[in-house]
Amino acid sequence: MTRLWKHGILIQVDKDARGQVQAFDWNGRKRAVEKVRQRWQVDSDWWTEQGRVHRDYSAVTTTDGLLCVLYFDFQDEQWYVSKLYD
Amino acid sequence: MTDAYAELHAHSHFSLLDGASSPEDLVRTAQELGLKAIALTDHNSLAGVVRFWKAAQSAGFHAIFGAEVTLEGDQHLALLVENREGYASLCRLLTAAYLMDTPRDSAGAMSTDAKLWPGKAKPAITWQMLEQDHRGLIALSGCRRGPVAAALLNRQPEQAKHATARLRDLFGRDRMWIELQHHYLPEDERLTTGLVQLARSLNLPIVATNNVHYALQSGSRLRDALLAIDQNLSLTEARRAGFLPYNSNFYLASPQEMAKRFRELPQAVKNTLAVAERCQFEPDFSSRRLPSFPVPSGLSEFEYLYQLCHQGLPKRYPQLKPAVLKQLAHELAVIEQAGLAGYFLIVWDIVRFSRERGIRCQGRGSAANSIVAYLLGITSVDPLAHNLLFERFLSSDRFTTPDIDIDFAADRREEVIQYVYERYGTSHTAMVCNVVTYQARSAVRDLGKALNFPLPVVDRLAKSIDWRSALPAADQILKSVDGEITAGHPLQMLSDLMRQIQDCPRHLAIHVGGMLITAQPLDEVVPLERATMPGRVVCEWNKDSVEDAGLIKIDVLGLRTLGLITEALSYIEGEPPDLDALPLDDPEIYAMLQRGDTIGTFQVESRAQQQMLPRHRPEKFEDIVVEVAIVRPGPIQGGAVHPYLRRRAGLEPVTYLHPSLEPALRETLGVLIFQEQVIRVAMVASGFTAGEADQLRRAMSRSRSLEAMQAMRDRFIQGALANGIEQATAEEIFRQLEGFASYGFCKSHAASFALIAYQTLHLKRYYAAEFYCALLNQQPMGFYSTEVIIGDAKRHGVELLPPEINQSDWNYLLERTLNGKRALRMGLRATLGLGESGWERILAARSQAKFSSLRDFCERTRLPQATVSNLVRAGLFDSFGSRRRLLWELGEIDYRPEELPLVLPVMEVHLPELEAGEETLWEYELLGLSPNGQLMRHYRPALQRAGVLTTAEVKAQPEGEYVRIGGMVAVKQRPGTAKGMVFISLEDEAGLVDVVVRPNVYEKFLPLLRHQLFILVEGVVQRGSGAISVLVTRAIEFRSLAGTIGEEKLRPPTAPDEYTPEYEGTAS
Repeated sequence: MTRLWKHGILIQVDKDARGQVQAFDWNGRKRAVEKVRQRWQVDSDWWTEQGRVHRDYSAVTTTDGLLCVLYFDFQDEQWYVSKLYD
Repeated sequence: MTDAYAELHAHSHFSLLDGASSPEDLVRTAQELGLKAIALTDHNSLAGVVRFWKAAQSAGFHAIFGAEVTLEGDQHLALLVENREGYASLCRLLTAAYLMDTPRDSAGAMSTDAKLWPGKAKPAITWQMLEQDHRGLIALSGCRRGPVAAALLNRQPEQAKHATARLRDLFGRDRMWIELQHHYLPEDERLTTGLVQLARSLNLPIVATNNVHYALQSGSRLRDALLAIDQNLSLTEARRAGFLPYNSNFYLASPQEMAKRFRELPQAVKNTLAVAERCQFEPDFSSRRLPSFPVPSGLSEFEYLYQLCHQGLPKRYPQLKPAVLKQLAHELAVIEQAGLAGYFLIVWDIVRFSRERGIRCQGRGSAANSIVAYLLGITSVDPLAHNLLFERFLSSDRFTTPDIDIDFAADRREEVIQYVYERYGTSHTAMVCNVVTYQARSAVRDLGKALNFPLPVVDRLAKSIDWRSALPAADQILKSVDGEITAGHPLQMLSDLMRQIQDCPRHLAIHVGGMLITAQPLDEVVPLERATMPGRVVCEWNKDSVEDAGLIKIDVLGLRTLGLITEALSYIEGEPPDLDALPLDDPEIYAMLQRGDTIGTFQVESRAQQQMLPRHRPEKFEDIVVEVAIVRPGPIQGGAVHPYLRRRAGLEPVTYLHPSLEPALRETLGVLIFQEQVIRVAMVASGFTAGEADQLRRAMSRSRSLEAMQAMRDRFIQGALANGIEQATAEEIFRQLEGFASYGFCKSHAASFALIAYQTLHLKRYYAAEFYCALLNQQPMGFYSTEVIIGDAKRHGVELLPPEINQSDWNYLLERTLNGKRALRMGLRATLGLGESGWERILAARSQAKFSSLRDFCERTRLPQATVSNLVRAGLFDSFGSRRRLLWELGEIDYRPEELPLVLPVMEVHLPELEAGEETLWEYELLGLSPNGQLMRHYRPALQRAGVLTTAEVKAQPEGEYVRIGGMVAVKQRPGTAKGMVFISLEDEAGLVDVVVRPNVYEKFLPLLRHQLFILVEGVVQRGSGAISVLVTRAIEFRSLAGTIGEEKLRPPTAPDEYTPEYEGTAS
């Protein structure tokens, strides 16, 4: 089942020297990133009451078979899981 | 190796409602980031190229020119200009696209039929056009909307390959580049991979661009807002509909950032330099400006000009003095050296045509500094007699583009424009455009809607703004609410965006009269677009760009005053006066000026002028020249007005900041009033040559970079120090020059206008009936409403006859009354709801026989009953009976168009008389005024009881007297130069008086003073050197003292506007 979190679930990540995600903690386990499948950035909604959405998204696959969408929030400088495909 | 990059795809705000930065900002940021070059590629437009080029030129930066064109099928393609041929190709391509489907007659001339004219075009370049015009252009495959990228994104690799091959075959392998962009958008990587594969398979080079739409990332918000505005959607709606980009990465990226984005493809970044290196073109057309002028055989253009000037000498200078010949020889030498003989001949020819057709015209602006222009009849002011400065027009050491502006009678200007088109051909002639930019109100309206403010809020905000410019308005908006405004507050967002949008172009319009005539076919110089007006094309450059590109424009301006003069002269019985030969020393004229009796006259009629005149007390023509020039923002902001008036009145000594300035400023008592004085001061104080000094003046009068101004300042101060002027004095002189130069008139311009002012004063003084009749028929023009003009006419003994169905014409007429005087008969054109078609029916019926009754009128004109009712209520049938009775009768008359009348007898009834003021209100409603008297007279009994004085009574009060006064708002102003003061002219049945409201009082009594038809105030009488006004201390609800007669339904007849311009006329 695909799970989608509108505001993301805060996670801890390990990055390489170029800032790419190498691994992240999920459900108490460290998941190693096998490949960054796609990367894109969003900067929108700055005019809304909810406020600006300014994020750097990465669609990654993990070595244990997860496909997830992570994002780095430029505003609070934290990483989040946005979407998870089981 | 350090990273190096040239941006080859950048949009400025001339990509209308898409790009968010000015060309200057792009150049500055590119240079700061260390880019090697930047290309301007606006959407289907070269409107910004000259500004872009000039900015790059002064920064010493490599500018590349181009455009992102729209192909048929709404696909984008970036084209860069490699050389002059490429520039011409691009201009032709864009012109062809903009003018496609333009209706033409059998001879190929563009249709002027409004029904056929499609208006502005959304261009689409066909492949056929590209095949015809692509030489000298380099093609980049385009953004995601390009034919190649779009096909790849749609997973149509064969189509992408086909499109690429087609472009390669068209442009050639060395002029076609596969464009890679990386904005961190979804599918960027797949797209890049596909493009690189395609490039390899077709053996084409790759090149990186960033498809820039704003200089800095912070500009993305304005771009989002502009995109929403373009779609007429709110930002949220625009995002949902997919009109907004995903992110804010379309800024100018540094070489390092581009190297990072294209880490895997360094060649794409490196190749930008190779492309940039090839593009070496500059839009400088100064070497071939104008078409050759046909001259008699055996003569050169210059020889012909020489001959014409000498032919003009006897008329202009019956007593020829050596100084005249010396000045003429000097000017002719400069003109020959500058290669401008043909230019003068072209202008001379236009003026000749105009005069031959009886179209009144006169040159204005700096051209009046030239004796050549005077001898050719282009201008009417003798430059020697008025000590004018030729170097303000053209200088021998620096050939700046001269500017000749000519005013033509507005109602016949079109004939002149058509003549120019015919003479030089539509392929060499176009109107210059006017770039309409965002200002405070338009910014609030468009941005407010984008931010999804409720429309009533947008409306209220827009109306509450007291500024023309968006910058101070942005501050005002924040102050408009109580309490703190946080960063995310909608008003804060609006305010932030307003700061950014100031001066951002909104659309291109036609300049009021600028005509560009070129030697080269125009479509090789600048793209032409179809204008909204039928039969008109407009070039994409405004007047500054035309001038900076080294081209010459001629301003064919419309001036209603010249039409007024022609019309007034036509009414004069017997021989009309030769206004061009009037002696300029008539004491009667100066007496009028000294008492401010100037309503309806040219240039000296505004309330500000009328306040100044009794203090200035002009006594000779030179004083009128000063009067025209001094009520301008330049002298006001430069603090020149009061010193000049005090010195003139002998209240303070005439002094100079430095003795060397005396020759330059003596004629204006040491005060800076004319632009020419900026040049003279720079020459004497700092040793500038005439050309350099004019350059300084130009730099000051156009917005230049702070760095450029600083360099000018340093040069000025150094020169002044070398001339023995102390540092502090030199700085003060420069400060005064700077404060003045932006908004001052040149003396030659003021003198030309002063001459027309004198002519209108002469007509008003000696031919009042004819003058007012022409003035009323030329409305709207000038400063005052029809009602104010009629009040003035009555005060000058010109009787107003009400509109009458058997007597009135469409326009105002002159009728001889029983007392032998000529009176004004109101025309029907002011009658609400009649319209010209209604008038034509009346005229057709009346030409058979005069109307004998209301029934006769109805039966013969078959006008709708509602229209006839309006005519009755407006008093047109008063000669047939009372209005109430006639309205009753109208209801009894049974008639329908195209049917035979059914005659029914009118029942005899007893009808009560109309209430007091009811007829007057009807007249105000339907005619905009009452021929029988001013509305205020109906309130007078109540006002008198409440101690409210008439304007005449106020004028009789001594200085310092506390008075109460009420009236209709005739004019209301809040000039930017007056520090928030509001000036209101109140009119009543006795005349006009000015009231002055300080900002704190205005704010306190805002509801009683803003958007009101009537106002009532208390204040102190001020009698400053003859000018009378009331300084307001308090406002009172008008109706609380005056009562009401039902005027609430009326709209303000003059639509008092916070922004009525104080300074009429155009600085040149």
